[in-house]
Amino acid sequence: MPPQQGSRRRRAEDDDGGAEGVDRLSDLPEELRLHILGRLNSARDAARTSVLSRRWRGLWTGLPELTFRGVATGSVEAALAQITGPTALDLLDVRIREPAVTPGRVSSLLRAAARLGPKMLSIGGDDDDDPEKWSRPEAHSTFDLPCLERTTSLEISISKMSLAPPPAGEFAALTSLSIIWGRIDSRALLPLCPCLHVLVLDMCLWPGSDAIVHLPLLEELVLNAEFLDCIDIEAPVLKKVDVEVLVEDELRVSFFAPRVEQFDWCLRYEYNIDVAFGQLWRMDSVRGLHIQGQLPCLKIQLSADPDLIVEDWDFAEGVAQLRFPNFSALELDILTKGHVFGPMVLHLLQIRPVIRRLRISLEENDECTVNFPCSENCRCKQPNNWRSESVPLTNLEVVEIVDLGGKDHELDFLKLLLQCATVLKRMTVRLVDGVSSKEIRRIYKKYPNVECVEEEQNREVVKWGAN
Amino acid sequence: MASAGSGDEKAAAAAMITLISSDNEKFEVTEATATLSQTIRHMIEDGCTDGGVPLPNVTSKILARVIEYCKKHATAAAGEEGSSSSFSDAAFLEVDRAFLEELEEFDDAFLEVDRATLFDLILAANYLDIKGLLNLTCQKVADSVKGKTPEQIREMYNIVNDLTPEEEAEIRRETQWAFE
Repeated sequence: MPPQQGSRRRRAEDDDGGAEGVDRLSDLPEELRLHILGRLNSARDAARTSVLSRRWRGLWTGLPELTFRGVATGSVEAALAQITGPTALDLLDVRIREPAVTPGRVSSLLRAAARLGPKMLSIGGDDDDDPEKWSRPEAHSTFDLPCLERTTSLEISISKMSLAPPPAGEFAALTSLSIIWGRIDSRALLPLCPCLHVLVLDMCLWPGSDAIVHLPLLEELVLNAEFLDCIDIEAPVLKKVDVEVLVEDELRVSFFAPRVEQFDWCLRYEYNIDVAFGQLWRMDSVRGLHIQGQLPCLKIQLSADPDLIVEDWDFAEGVAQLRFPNFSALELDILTKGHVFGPMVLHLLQIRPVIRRLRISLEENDECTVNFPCSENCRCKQPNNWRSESVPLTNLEVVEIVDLGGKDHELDFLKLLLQCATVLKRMTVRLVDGVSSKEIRRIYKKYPNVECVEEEQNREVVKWGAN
Repeated sequence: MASAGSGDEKAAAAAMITLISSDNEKFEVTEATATLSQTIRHMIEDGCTDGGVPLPNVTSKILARVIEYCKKHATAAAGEEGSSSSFSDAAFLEVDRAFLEELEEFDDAFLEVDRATLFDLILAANYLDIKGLLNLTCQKVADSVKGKTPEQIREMYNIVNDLTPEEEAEIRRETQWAFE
């Protein structure tokens, strides 16, 4: 597309439009004008250029990628009906803005989308701000997912509705599928997608249902769900798995994925089930993290809950719910609310005494609790003789404690760790702002073989001991 | 005239290519700079760049600007390769970020041209097949019409409305969804 050499276009230096009223924009070859329309990133803006002049009429219908934002389903359908070209779309990306959109409207929109055979299809509700997006769909609010034979990537994020898979056909080209909010039956939908490499199931499985993922080519799985009965994963080439589940009862897990390189499995125990210890400490979440080249790590969030009465499970049972309960690094986030945490941590360390790295992050109060000193005979101090317990920590090499308050029981816990961890190499302690480090330094001096570090907001300030 | 070489030692050591504009001006550039153009890359691969590459569709004024763009972005590409092969620690990330910011500033300043030059750059980028430059310049035009009414766009770009009122009404009816 050569520019017309030296003809009518005399470029005056001060001109900022087409010189002498020349329409350089319309003179661009169609392919370039389409490229410009594409960069508008809005099908609506592109379609509005149709009325500029004859050369612009219907140009937008040749766009390979169409993006609709904040449009009603009817408008999108009207737009899609205008596209009659032979070539399939590369991308159709729709965010609906429509009050009370019905399953019928969604089904109809999906049918219209399917006719254009988009390689990538993303359909979403505009409900980021909708406080009710969490609510469960009504029994009959189901929309139909048509068979998208050519589509390689599909993302559906529609709340308060369920999704019915097509009665026949396969998603033969589909390699990436994300379902957010819209409820599915994994048993019915996933077998229709045999080529999936990436699967994201985010809050789309019914409570009490099963997550059945048997996919021969799956490499990446993200699963976020509440109250599942069963997770059944059979994925021989799965590399990366990220599961987060809210648990209220025993979760049955079957997991066959021999090639996993990155494994992140988190169980949250927020409602209906008390995973607890000593009728005081509640396990809020437990997370196993296995990443190639790093120590397998267990992360536990705990909080003191003096009103705790029932213990459905002990900590050990909570940890055992994880798929791979083996770990050699332990990270604890403890909301103490002023309670003595030493006995509880010692109990946890006994569940798996072979750990090599321990990190404890302490927090006295969260936003909604106020700390009262607990009574002399509070459950947190049981057993009475915890300070003289001997826990064999024969593998523990590195300890890090964040936001230690410097109280007597905290220092006693520190001493106990130093005594029990016979091969400890390094201990790093960060004190709460304003707490004197005199006592800590006195303790450190007794352990010249351990490199003891005092930290201030991630900055090393004092080093003691080895080297 | 011939704006040869660059500060980059590696690039300076590389082979040089001569580009010849439509008004017969010669520009000597490194291969790394020239191959940002897929068109020229293919010519180099086919071994037909001896004696210079004639670019009959690009004037010297525009070619100079295009080369300015390619030089900057070729350095950026070289930098990226360098950092990805080394450890990506914080210092490198910091350098990368600073460089990206600098590149963005360069692009912004580069686009400060009159509209006629902008269109010449679009055509040159298309002819030379320089994806980054084509996207950059087309984005500038797209941004200028974004949110404008058809009347405003016509006025801005001297577009003559050759539609009959009936035709225009019909189009507006067809694409009513876009005007709601």
